[in-house]
Amino acid sequence: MIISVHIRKCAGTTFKAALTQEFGPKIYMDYGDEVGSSWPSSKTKRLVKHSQMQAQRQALQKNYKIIHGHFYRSKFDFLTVPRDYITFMRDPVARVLSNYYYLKRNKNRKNGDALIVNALGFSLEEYVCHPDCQNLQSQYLQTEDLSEFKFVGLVEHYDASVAELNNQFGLSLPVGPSKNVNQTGSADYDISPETRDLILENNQKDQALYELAQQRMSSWTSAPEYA
Amino acid sequence: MMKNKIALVAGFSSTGKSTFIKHVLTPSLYALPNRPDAHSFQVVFGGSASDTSLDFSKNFSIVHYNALVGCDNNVEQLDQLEYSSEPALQSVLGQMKDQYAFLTYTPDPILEARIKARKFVEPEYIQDTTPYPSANVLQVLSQVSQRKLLLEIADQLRSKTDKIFVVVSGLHSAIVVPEFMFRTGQPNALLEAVLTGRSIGNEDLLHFAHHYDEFVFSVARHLSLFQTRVNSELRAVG
Repeated sequence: MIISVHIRKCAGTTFKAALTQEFGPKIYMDYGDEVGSSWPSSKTKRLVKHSQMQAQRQALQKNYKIIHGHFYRSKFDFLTVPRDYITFMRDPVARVLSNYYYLKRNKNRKNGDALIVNALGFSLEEYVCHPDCQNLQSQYLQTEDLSEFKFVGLVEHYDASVAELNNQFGLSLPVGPSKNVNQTGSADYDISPETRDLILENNQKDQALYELAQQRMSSWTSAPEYA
Repeated sequence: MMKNKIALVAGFSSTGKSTFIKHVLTPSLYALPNRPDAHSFQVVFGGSASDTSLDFSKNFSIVHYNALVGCDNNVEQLDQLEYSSEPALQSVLGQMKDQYAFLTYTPDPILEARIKARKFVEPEYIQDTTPYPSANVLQVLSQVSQRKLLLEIADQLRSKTDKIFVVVSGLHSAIVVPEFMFRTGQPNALLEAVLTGRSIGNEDLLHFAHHYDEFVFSVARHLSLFQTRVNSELRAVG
């Protein structure tokens, strides 16, 4: 079974559509864990959902080939079938900016980081320093070196990543212009060098993992820009 | 009897300063064993363009301070708003050593609705029934962060006192939290309930406030009593 960890603001819309096209009814979408949030309601939701999932173990294993969604990497450790973990990562500065401005545009959201941004009115600089929002990619992936993951794609090289995923898993996910992805990284956001440094300072683990993912990608023959 | 005491209540327009003073802070004071007598108690209004020096002649003063300092009627002045040289706040700061400060905060979407519904400038204390400049205040709210204003005021206060609290009010409940919890966004179940518009029980509120000193606990208790009354009145109206 494939376990696909969808980190927030990492090509989710495009990749989810591609996976749905490929797997049809064999894909299980698992959203709503509010990964990273230490607000009490988020912790409760995760506990409840986790026990619900465990209760469905047999059905999950029998009916689905892939689980995709927002959850911690270890969530499905209770499954007894072999599991291949996959994910997409993104330049940490671009991801943080995308996440923050997404929340600013969606004022009705009630999850933890939305409370921080919209209900408490945190500025970008304050948001970056909040523990729930630091190193979010590392929080999702729960890894030091990505060794648990068979595949790690990069949002900035979405098509090449999907081609490699197809190659590794014998899939035929569509490639092409990705939806809802800022291909230019953080360049579209007008931030000062100081703010960029602040984001990097608070996302050092994510930056290290992202560089590891870039190194992995450089070894793929299907990524001509790295040849 | 209390002497030369002061409590500052500061916040953006419509965040509930007058309501907090009238229905929570004042009864909290009178519930204390060493309460001020009526003749030695006053509410002082600061935070208008003409407030260059406030009168603290009474033994106990509650200062009602509009964080917009006149900008609610003159948006152009926002750029010049500087608390470190703002006469009314500096006048208050001179009296604030080890005194209490309560900063009132309401999440923007809820505050917007309140501003739109408000009719008068100050009906609670000074019977100012001038029409409330809702359009101007909404314009200010769209251009400035009330969080930023509150934290700047807190920064000014910190050299004088560490008794700084934030009164966070939502749709159906309110809570008094230490300023650091507001500043850092420290996750907390009751704060989350207020921010997401849920109501919370009095027992929970008082349990949360049990580590506060006598005065702030009294404030928390009267806040819970007040919201119980308001919510029951709302239920009665249907």
